[in-house]
Formats: sequence, C-alpha cells, structure tokens
Amino acid sequence: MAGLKLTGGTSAVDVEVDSTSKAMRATLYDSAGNEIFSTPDGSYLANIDLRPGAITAGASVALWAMRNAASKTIFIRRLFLTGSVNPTTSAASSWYYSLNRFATATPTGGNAGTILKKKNSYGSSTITDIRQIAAAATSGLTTTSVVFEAAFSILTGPRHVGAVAALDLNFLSSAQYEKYAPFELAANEGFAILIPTNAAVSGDFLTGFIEWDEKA
Amino acid sequence: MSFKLVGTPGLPAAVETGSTSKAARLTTFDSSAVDFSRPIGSYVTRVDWRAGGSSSSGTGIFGMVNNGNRTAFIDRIFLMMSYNPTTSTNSNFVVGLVRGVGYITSGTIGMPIRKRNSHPSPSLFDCRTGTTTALTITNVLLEAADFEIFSISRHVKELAVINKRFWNNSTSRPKIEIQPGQGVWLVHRTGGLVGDTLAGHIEWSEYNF
Repeated sequence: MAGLKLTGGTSAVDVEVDSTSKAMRATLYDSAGNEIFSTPDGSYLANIDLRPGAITAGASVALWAMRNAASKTIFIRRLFLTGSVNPTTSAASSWYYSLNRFATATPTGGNAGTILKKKNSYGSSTITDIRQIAAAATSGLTTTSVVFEAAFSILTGPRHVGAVAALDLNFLSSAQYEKYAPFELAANEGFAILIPTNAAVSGDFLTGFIEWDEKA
Repeated sequence: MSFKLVGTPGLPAAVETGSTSKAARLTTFDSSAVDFSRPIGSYVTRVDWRAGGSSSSGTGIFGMVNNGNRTAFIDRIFLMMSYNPTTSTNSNFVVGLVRGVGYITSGTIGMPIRKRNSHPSPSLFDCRTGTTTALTITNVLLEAADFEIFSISRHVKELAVINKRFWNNSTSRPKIEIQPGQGVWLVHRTGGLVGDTLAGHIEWSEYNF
C-alpha cells in the first residue's frame, strides 16, 4: 500500500519526510502567522572601546552608536562589557552610562567602527553607520537631530582602585523566543551608549563587544 | 494518493510552498488552548538608584506594577550593586526582591521600553525608580517573604553584578509571574547610606494567560 500523502491545503505541496530519520518536517508558527524559528540572514560583531578624556555629561552625549539602514531588523543578542578605571587613587564617584535606542538622525564625529561577520560568507551588514569617540576625546559624538528614547539600562560602578565589572547583558531568554527576547532595532533605529548624568573622566574604561543578528 | 488535513473551521492545514522544506506548519498550544509560541510583547526598564542621603529599612528603591490585564513573566534581572565613598564602613547595603500589591505616585517614572517598537504598550506600565531619594511604599502590601536578598559590604571597590535569569526551558512557567494588580519591588532591608548604588535593568514578557 502506497499510503496517503498529507498535502498543503493551498500550496498542494506534499509534506516532506526525511529519508534517514523518517521524520515529518514541521515549521513552528504562532497563531498570527509569524514563523517562530528561522535562521538569520547574518550574524555580526563590533567592538566597543571607550576610554574617554574629560567629557561633560548630558542627556544626548553619546560615546558609541550604531544605526540600522532601511532593509532589515537588527536583533541585539548580547552586549559584553568590562567597566573599570585606571588611576591609582580612588575617587568618591562612579562611572555611569545609559543604554538608549534612538531614531531620526545618525550621530557623526568620532571614529568609524568596523563590523565583523561571524561567518565570512555572510552578506554585508545592514548597519550603515557605527562609530565611537576617539581615545582621550573631550567631547561626545555629534548628535544633532538624534531623538533618543528613555534609557533601558544603566551601567555604573565606583571609581575605586581595583574595582572592575564584567557585564554580560544577554537578551536571549531561551531559544524558543530568540526572535522576541533580543532588543530590536527596526529600520532607521539605532543604539547608543550615553553619559547622561555623570561626566566621564580620564581613566574611565568601558570596553567589550556587541553582537547581533539580522533578518529581512 | 493525497489528502488534506482540515481543521474545525474547515481550513486545510498549510504546507510550506516556494521553499525546499515542504514542511507542515504547526503552532504549539497548551491544553488550555493558549498559544505559548511567543509572548504578546517583550519589555525592559531601567533601575537607577544613586542614594543621595540615608534611607530607612523598608523604603523602596524600585517598583513596577502590572496595571493592565496580561500576565507578566520576569525574564531577567540585571543589576550592579556598589558603594562609592573612598572609605569603607562596617555595614552592608542590603536589598530585597519582593512581590506586592499596590502602587505609588512618587519616584521617577522609569519608562518601560518595548524591545520591539511595534509591540503593544505593556500591561506592566507603571515602573518607578528612586534616583537619589527612596520611595515611600507604606501603602504597598508586600508579600511576607523576599524572593531573594542582594547584599554587598560597604567596602572600597566592592562591586557586585547580579545577572539573574528566570527561565530554564522553552516555556515561560519557571519565571516569576506578576498577575494583574501585582508588582515587584526592590526594598531596603537595612538602612541605606549615601553612596549606595543599584542600577541596571529588568526584562519581562507578557502573555494573555
């Protein structure tokens, strides 16, 4: 007996059964018709290397920024950062950074960053601009017309000799929700590290990397 | 010979077309007919406590209240806890994480941020962080026991990173649940001092459970 084939109601395509496992293939969707799992078009990294000079704090003083172009969604999977200070005398103050999404315009100034593909055969990233202040800079990036959302996280630590923080901001909650747990940048949105409250001082360090997936 | 699987509303099940997978489409439901394939929305809000003076034990540092009608599941609590004076003191900065019922009107509104801007507004939309002044939470009915106590000694260079995730498999059930009307609070469990710092963020997802 040849058996019955399960056929798609609209597509009229027969369901595939894998030859070795004999398993029927299935793709998970939510009730609204969104595919739950799908491989990204590409996965990327960029370094964060902030060692500012003295910079006055302000609500739109950005030290690092990246902005998404209009073609794909950015899923920020993780920020891994170390925060420290290098003077040999402790100070009774704290380094203090906020993480903010932004839109409307692209920061300028500083140094252009480099985007690394996790696999070299991936296509080019849809991030069209990524930049950070130069070492010992005494001003932030130029953020004219950039509209920042409220901060979604605050990173801070004491400016004490020997105080260092390893910060693993992993936004994934499980593989099942990998398209819902990351922090997202839609077309023309960006992500920035700001110093809204405490001035940066020479000797502050915030270094590490950001990793993200892209999907059309 | 082929057949089409037809559901209750008379709709035939779909098979992927235009691709090489030829996979049937499935959606995962629990036995109560709830689609748990994804949350309604995912959100994050900041915690930003930088003590500008002394605080009494029992005062609030942060609170977030579910004023809507979805259930919120706490995915992750990411906090940095430190003390920034250059002289150590013989005491500890102690904070409890506790659930409660009630709301407050003081403090700085820490706007909940949608992880995806097209997600709907959160049900858990009243997030408040003390910045330099503690929150008065005497009208909040806290549960008897804290989920957890965070603490550091108030010593020079003391710095703790608290990175707590509340999932351990693919369902949302292991997470702390905040039902409509409930909230989650960070509360001083000993007196606070100038220089106490607690900052970071809390992530959560919401479902129509």
